[in-house]
Amino acid sequence: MNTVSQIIGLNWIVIGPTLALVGTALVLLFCTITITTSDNVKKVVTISGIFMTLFTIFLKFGLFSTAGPSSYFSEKILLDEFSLFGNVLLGLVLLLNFYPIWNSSFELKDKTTEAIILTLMSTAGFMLMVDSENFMMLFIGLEIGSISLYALAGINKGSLLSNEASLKYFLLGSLASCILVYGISLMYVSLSITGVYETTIAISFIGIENIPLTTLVGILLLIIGLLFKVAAAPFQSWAPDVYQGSPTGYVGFMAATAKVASFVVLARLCIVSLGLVMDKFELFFSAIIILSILIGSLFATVQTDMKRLIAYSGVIQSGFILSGITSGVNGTSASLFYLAAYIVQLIGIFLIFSVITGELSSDFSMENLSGLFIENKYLSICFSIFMLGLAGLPLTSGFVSKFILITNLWSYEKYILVFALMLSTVAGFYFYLKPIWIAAIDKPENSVPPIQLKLNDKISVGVLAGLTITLGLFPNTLINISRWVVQNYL
Amino acid sequence: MIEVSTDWYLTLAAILFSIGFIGMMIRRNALIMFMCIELMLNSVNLTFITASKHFGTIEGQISVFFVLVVAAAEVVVGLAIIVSIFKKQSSASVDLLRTSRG
Repeated sequence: MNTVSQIIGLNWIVIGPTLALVGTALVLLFCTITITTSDNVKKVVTISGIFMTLFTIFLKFGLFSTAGPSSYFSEKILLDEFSLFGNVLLGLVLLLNFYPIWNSSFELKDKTTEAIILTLMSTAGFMLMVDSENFMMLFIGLEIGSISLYALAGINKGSLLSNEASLKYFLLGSLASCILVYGISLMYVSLSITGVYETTIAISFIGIENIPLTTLVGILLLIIGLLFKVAAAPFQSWAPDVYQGSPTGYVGFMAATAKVASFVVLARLCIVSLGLVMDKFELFFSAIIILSILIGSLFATVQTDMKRLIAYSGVIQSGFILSGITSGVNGTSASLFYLAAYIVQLIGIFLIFSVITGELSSDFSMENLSGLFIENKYLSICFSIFMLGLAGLPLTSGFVSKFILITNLWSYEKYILVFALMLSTVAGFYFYLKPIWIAAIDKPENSVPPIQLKLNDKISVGVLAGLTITLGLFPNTLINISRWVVQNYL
Repeated sequence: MIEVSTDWYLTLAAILFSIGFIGMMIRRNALIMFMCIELMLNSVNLTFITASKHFGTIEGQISVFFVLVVAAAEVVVGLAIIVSIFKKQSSASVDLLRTSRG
């Protein structure tokens, strides 16, 4: 018995975070269905579940320090630097989003636990996805995560906008999953490839010039499926509608988790599996990056809804991150830094939106911001920090991440990309500064109800704004971490 | 007598996938789009099965089970979403869903 489990590599620590999250979700489900428990008990269960998850990630670090990069469950689950980085980021996204998620779910009255369970399950799925070595495992993790997010987008059943966002997210997300899994099946058909490392072995065994077209098409479809999830142009059409329609309290979580998981998987794919054939995809990736930056910048300037503006800014940021990932090992470490800095600003901005118009509201037009500086100085200063961080002003994490990324691209001699990124940064100042201008200068036309700032929201916003500034002033720790992730592949 | 080789199945799967994809692009009814997704997932299943038979390996057949389970889960969530929209506007056409445009 012992030997069998050793041969297939049974190790519960490796999937510990997923198990902890699923376990917490099941306990919450049990609490709701069988015994009526008070909200405080559920809150304690959820918080302890999240900390349990973080503790199991810590245990994974312990296992990694002794075993090194290794695969488990008959080469289905992988323990390497990318999976640890992805796990930590996803855990932190859940922790930083705990109060927005809890407050929004509390507003839902009878569906409180449903929403919490969906968020926990979605994180569990995405954690499985970043751990996956086998492509089928990747697909299952992605689906567990995404299906929960489709339901989460439509959790506010009373609002038509929320329903609409949910349906659009579902249809286009499922289309992306279909494309992704067809890519996986084509790779299996052509070279019997089923995993990340098998791709490398198969490609180096058969030789770069002998790779069948089917394999290349399969890899391309797999990448397109992932690009759908990170909303890179021209696959961005769902993002603005979904961000606008979904209940504001959840959007930060929805956007951040899907982006983190997909980008970490994409980074691993580009560095580990496709190192030899990256030349063949260079034109494709360049087109995607330029299109993302162009479409994102053009559409962001004409938006009047803040949530749509942030969605198009997300398209631009996807282009930035992708440009690092596809250029090489050093570029990937810059992109991972960028990713971590970006999601902090993303979560912070949606937290502020949900505080201003209420957690379950859908629309957030720019007029809602007017008079914010007079109304609430604390919120408006934090809002400015996040917006300036997205724009890339010095002293914020946005500047450091853009600086590292562009210098890396310069050293790879990708001058056209550098030029495009610089142009979009300059254009970005227009649409990132406009909301700050409205918040600081404009007077509201009709009187708005005063903002009820809860203490926990105040602390969450403060922590996120502090992180944005701290990463801008002292970026060394995170730079070292992102270098550590890729150092074995140099 | 023509021998039906592996390529035939793969071509059929590719055609089914294309039909599903084109259907997704041109049909405006949410239920039909939903059927197109199912068609695409089933063409993936056919590809997996064919490859499994061709190579004599088991991974493809196991993958089919997972794809089937995922498709079932998508049916549950997707139909719930469509029903909740249908209750509001008594039509499942996605053309009516233009509230969020900008």
